[in-house]
Amino acid sequence: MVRLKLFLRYSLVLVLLQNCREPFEVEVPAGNSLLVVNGMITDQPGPYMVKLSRSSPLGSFDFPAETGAAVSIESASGNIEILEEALDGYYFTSEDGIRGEIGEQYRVSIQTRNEERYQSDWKLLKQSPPIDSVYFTFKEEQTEEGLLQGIQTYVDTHDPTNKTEYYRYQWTETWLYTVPYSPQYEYLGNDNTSLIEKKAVCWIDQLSTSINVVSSTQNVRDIISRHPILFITTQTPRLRILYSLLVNQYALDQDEYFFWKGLKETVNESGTLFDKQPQSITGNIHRINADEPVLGYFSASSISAKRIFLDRSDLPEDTPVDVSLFNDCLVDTYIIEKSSTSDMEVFNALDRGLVFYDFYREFVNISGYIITTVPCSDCTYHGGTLERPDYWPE
Amino acid sequence: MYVMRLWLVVFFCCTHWLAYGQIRPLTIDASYENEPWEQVVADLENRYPVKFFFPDAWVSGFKVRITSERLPLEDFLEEVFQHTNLRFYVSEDQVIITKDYQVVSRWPKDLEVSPDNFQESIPDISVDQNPTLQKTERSYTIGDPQQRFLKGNASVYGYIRDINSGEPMVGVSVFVAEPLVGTTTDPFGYYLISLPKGNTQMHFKSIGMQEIVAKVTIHGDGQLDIEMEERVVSLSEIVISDEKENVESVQTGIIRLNIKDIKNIPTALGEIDIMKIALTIPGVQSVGEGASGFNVRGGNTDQNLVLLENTVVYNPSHLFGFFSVFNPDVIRSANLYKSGIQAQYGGRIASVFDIGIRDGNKKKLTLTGGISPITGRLTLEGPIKKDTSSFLLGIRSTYSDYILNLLDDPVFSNSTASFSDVIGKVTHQADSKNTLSASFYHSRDRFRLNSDTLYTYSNTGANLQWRHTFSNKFFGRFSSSYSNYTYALQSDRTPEKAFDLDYRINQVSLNADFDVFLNAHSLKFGLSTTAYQLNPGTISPAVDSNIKAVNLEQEKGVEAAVYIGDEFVLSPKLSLYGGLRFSGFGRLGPQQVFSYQQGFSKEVAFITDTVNYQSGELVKAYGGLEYRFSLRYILKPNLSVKFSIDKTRQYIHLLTNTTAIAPTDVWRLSDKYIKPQIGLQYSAGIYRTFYQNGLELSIEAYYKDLENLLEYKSGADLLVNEVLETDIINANGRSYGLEFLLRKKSGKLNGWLSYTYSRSEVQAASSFPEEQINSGEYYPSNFDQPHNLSLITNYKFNRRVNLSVNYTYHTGRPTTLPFTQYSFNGQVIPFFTERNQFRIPYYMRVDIAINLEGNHKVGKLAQGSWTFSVYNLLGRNNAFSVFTDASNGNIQVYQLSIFSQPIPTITYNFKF
Repeated sequence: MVRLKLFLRYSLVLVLLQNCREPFEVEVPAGNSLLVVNGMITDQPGPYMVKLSRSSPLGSFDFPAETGAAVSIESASGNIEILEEALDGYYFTSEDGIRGEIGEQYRVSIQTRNEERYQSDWKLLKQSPPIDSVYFTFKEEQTEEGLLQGIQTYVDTHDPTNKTEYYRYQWTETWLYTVPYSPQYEYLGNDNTSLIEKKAVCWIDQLSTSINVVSSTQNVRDIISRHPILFITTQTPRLRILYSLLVNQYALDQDEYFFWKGLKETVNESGTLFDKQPQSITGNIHRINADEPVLGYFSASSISAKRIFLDRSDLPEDTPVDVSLFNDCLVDTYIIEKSSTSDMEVFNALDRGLVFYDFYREFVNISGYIITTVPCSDCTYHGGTLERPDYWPE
Repeated sequence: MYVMRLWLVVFFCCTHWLAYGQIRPLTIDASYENEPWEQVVADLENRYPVKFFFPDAWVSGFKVRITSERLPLEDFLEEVFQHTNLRFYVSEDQVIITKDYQVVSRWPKDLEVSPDNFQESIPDISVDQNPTLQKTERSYTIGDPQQRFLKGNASVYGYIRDINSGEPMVGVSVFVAEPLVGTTTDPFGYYLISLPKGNTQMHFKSIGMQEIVAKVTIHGDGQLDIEMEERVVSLSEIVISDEKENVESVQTGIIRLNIKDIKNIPTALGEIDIMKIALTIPGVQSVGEGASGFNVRGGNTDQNLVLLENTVVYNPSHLFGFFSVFNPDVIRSANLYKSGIQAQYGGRIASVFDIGIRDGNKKKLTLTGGISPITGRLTLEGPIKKDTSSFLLGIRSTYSDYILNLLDDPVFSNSTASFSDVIGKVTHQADSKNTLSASFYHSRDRFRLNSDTLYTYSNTGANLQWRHTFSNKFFGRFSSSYSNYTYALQSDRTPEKAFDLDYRINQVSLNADFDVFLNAHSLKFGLSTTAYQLNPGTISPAVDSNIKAVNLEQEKGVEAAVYIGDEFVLSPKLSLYGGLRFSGFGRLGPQQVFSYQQGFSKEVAFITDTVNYQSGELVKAYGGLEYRFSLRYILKPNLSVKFSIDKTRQYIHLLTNTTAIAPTDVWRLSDKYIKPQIGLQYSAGIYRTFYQNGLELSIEAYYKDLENLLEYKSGADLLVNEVLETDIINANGRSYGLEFLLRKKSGKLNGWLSYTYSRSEVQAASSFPEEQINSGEYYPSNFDQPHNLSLITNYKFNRRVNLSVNYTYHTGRPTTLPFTQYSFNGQVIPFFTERNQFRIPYYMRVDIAINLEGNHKVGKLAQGSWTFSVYNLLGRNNAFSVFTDASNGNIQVYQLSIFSQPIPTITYNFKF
């Protein structure tokens, strides 16, 4: 029977679902370098940002910033503000400058250093209804790589006036993590070693990059229910201690909804013949007095947000959470035989990327150091910050 | 020694056969277990007053296994020689063994010419020294001798049937060589040919059958019915043949596929598939391995009129397109018209793929079937009333679901993929003037591929046909047909989002077609009407679902056409065909029609007015003349040139936004904004035969203009779209090509080689930039594959073993890749500008199959045959698509292949 099954499986894999995807080498001539605009105005206090960059040839990892442009945001009622370039390609309004208002229309105007002029369509700042709830379930599924477990998060919202219809979600994940060998003291190069700052506990933020839009036009009322946001697998350390998800909801108009939806389809092609023909997705920004595609979008929306917290207790008991990051963490003792030469040797050790963790106490007398590696002792090494977010529970 | 005696006796008995009365019944009681023929003969000659005549060489090694209790001698011999190429003729106490042909000692029953009219009604039998020629020669006299002095040609007409099944034989070539005049039999096996009076030789030729050469003396009009017999060495050859001998027919671009003869061609997974074979014909392509449908000379998939017994089949594909819905066991043949489409066909602009269901066996009940790794097939057929009416029922089904469920892998056990089809036909020959037939088909597919959506789709069709002979030169055919295509999509991801989506199209057609033969003219005229009713989409939410119920307005339309066509033999060398078809279409209400602001691209924001049409009210009418013209000039008996022009119109369109058509694509009728598609094709060819027609070469060139093709704005959603016109772009197309086909029809090695160079381009040039594709320039269509080469070969080792090898090569199809990329919102995003500017790698495949006929021992319950085949023998990783994936943060170009390894298959076929 096993043999039969194997055979069947083999033949079926061959027959029905077998397909093979492999990288393909192709010479693609470089297209024109096009302006990319990413800007948004919301009902929250500024500063608002407009980012300008250029497209690049396929295979390149460099997306040059468009510097030295004159960028302004104006409202239909006549408010206008020139943005300042704080970083290469990043243009900001001032903190006490223009402020988005629900129901008002806004647009962005750009003049590049080469005197090329661009402008967006007028964009109505739509109101996003409050998020009803963000919630989650434990989910596991069989995949080709094996059992995948994790938390699936969802959002529910509704607009009693049936006016919103198109929604976009962005989220920020924040989680707390620790390193196993945070220094008890800091080595200062002499015997005045003392603990200045412990880098044991960090918080890290991660912004969503995937596109998540949904519309209620096919629903009876303007209700979004059980709309999936994010799947948090146990194959990352996120759920080990405490995790927080902040979901931002924006209201879109139909044009912007199709922009994001098209972008999403463009990013995830499956290669079957049932994929839609690839689309040229351009947004609401146009070159003035010339025919040139402009990439990106200038959007306007109010923001509704909701935050939830998750910890390990939200997983079924005994669900393993990945900590393989620290699997290689070891400590090494460094015995000092002659205290006079110790500093030099410790320096040498630290030069090799090692970190002082603790004094090595043989009985009561200190006789050396315990040393570990930076990734195992300094949580900021992994990108987090030591600053406790103000919303974080005690 | 025996040979000499045989000759004498043949001569003797044949010249005197009329003198013999009923043969005294002689019954045989004998039992042989693998005894050599010589011993059996000795035994029989010893025990019964009978003498056998035969050349020793024919029977050497022939062993007999039979148990006979009081079997009449003839039945006894019938059984002995069953499955051999030996035949016998009993003349009183003499049994003459013949090889490869049957001595005919009586006229076919339905021959209407009375024996008195025959002057020399004697079968003229010559035992051919070369058995591969396999001709049967007979002599006939036709017409009233008193007419022989009247001026003008005589009409010779009649029916041609299969001697074993009684089935009418379609597409049999009937011709005389000098002067070269020919015709072919129609779907009822009827032919009519106008011949000069006097002595001549009529040839009756059909693939896989013994050629019949009739020496005729024509005095005047008369009927000559012929029964043809399968060539005795009955291993099917792979042969495609033109409707007529290529050189003689008046049309260009017509290919006839005979299912009997393509059974040895290796196919993926052992399913014989007439549509896959069609893809090896020059000018026929598809967008990819396993893609639904096919493209003829640069035409879209929806521009092919696929007819199964005069009934339109909307989705001829099973399992996305890996198989066609046509069960090979029940179909007889298919004619593919790439150009030279005669006026009786209309409604689609690229081609007509006309598939016939065969008649059930009129003589005996038979059960045939086959098993392959994917499907099981059963066909039951037999007489309802012997020689008068018969039935045929073919069923095919997959068992893939069962296999999927056996697998532990959730990806598989979460999936389902199954299909089945049923095809049936009843034929009744009421009398010599009236024939009735009824047929139906139903195909059904279900699949769910590791997702929460179950797709089902089905085709249903039925056809009723009555053929009436008004006179021997005037026929009528009246038929009505119904066809239906539905699909449904069931999504049950969560209770809140569960819904069903349904789509349905119904079509009812009434046709009356007439054929009149007037000396050098064969006229065809008729009319047809079709009523369409389609439900473009209904969304029904499940209980507790938030999904809104949607019910798009039903669409109704009526299409009508009248046509007349004449095939006119101007001189033996020059034949003309001229046809006119006037087709009209009316889109009927209820419909809500929006008007859009002039000077703007159609968008919902620019709606200026709404008109509501009542049910049955005419919303929009289209109509136009379609002209068809062909000419053939014979330069030499084996060389001709042809030319044709076809104008065609189409009022129903398949909306598809994807590279290949998907089962969920929708058909919509023309309306105020969707204009009829119009095609105009010029085609010319040169046709030549070599080596006594053993080798045929045809070269055809064409140029085609297409109007009002449908393209779509970026990101258009075509499913359940209430304002479709805002997403549609009008496009035009052009295609041209040169096709070569070289065929070897006889001999141990046969097959064909085809090569096509062709281009197919589309242009969407609107004054609105959002309605332009590639800035309004011509760009290659999805199926533009300039070089296309197929080689199909079959080699017969002996009677039971043959080997088939296929080779396929074509240029990769165009694909769209991004020229540029950008970073936005934390993601790298490709920007696609120019459509179809790249090509996927070329496609190349070699397949091989070995066919083994089971041994045909007498008394065996079933006859079986085995086919061992390997698809993609070289295991080449042929690209199915090339695409980009940016989901991992950077853009990577990938190639996807489906069949990247050789696929071995075993198929068993049987016949009871």
